[in-house]
Amino acid sequence: MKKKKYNPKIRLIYFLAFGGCLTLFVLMSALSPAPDTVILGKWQEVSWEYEKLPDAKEASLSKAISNTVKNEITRDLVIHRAETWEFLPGGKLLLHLEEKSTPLHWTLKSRGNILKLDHEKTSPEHYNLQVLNEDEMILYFNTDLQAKGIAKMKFKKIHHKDYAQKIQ
Amino acid sequence: MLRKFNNSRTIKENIQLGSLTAFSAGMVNVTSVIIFFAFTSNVTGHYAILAEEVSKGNWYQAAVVFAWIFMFFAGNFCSNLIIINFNRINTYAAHAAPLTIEIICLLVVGTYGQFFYKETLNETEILVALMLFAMGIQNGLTASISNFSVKTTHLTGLTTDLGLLTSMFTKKEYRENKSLRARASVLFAIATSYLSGGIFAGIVYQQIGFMVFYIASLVIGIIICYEYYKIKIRKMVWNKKKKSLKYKTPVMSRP
Repeated sequence: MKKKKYNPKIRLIYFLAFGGCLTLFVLMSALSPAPDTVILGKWQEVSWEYEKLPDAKEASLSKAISNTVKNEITRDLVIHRAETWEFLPGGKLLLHLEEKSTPLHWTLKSRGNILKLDHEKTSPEHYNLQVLNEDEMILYFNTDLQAKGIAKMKFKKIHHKDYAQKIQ
Repeated sequence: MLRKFNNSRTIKENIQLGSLTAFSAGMVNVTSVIIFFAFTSNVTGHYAILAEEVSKGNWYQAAVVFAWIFMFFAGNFCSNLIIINFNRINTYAAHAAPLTIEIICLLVVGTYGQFFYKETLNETEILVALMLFAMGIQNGLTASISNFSVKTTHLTGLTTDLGLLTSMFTKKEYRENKSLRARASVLFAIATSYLSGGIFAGIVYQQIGFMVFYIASLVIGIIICYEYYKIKIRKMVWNKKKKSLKYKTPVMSRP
């Protein structure tokens, strides 16, 4: 059987198209760092509020979550009353509350938009990583407490410039 | 299931191929959603996510989703490239080769996940990409050899077709149309199998974890082996017929 040869022009078009896709991928990857590196560091809890409310009546009220409700929502969660979250390399997370800290294991799932927290004593918890940049982190999670919708946790990064200058 | 091409295929063959491949696709998709929080047998959602990530300026995530879509595309591309190049030489081999590649991908995901997976983001992204490639290969094969009538991972199109057909069946003339009824049976079989595969994987995953991918590979393996067995049987029957004709001929030619 005679072997058919592909047209060199067609070959070039295919080569350029696949090469273009690869270049686009490399460029996009290089434009911003991976979420598992951006998340590293200390994050201070800033606010708690509802992102979605089930009905219009409740939506017209304030979306802010009071401390009492917050404690109620997180009662069974591993993040209960944590004020500062410290993400360390190797999947270690320290939840700080005053002088006490709880060690956990963290991983990112999917395209880096799902934060999974593992604790030896409880089942894994999943949070939706809605916003993550050098200064801000916003986590969503579903809560069925009082038939409320999605809770939104805002964090700001604690930059340790002074510390970095000291060790130089 | 794998020996025939395009219009020479029967409805039974399309149902067999569609059901088995859809069952494994359902298994793979549900398992990947449970473990990796990402769909691996459908890309419509990924296109929406890609657009969302680009609009938000999340370039890393956009790159990941772009790569996933590309892997699904590459799976379809490779699958059909094998078929159109080797179909004339050996139809069975040309159709079995993409499924073999799919099995290899699923076995790699299953083995890596079971014994080496550390749950890092890079691992997750690569394993999802590999599964999308495997699903692309499968979808490409079934679509290609069934003249685009069987698409085992494309449930948006399948549900659309089912909806259209169901509305057509409200009229007697369409209800009595054999080809339309056959098409509806194929689509219904695929949808049911996909769902069953997903439910099965969801239950079994709790017990055996990543080993689910071995079962999905086994289902694909059944298609390859069943076809090989059928070919052997056919060959045996044909050889027997040939032999019996050989012995009969001299008797008939006697004066």
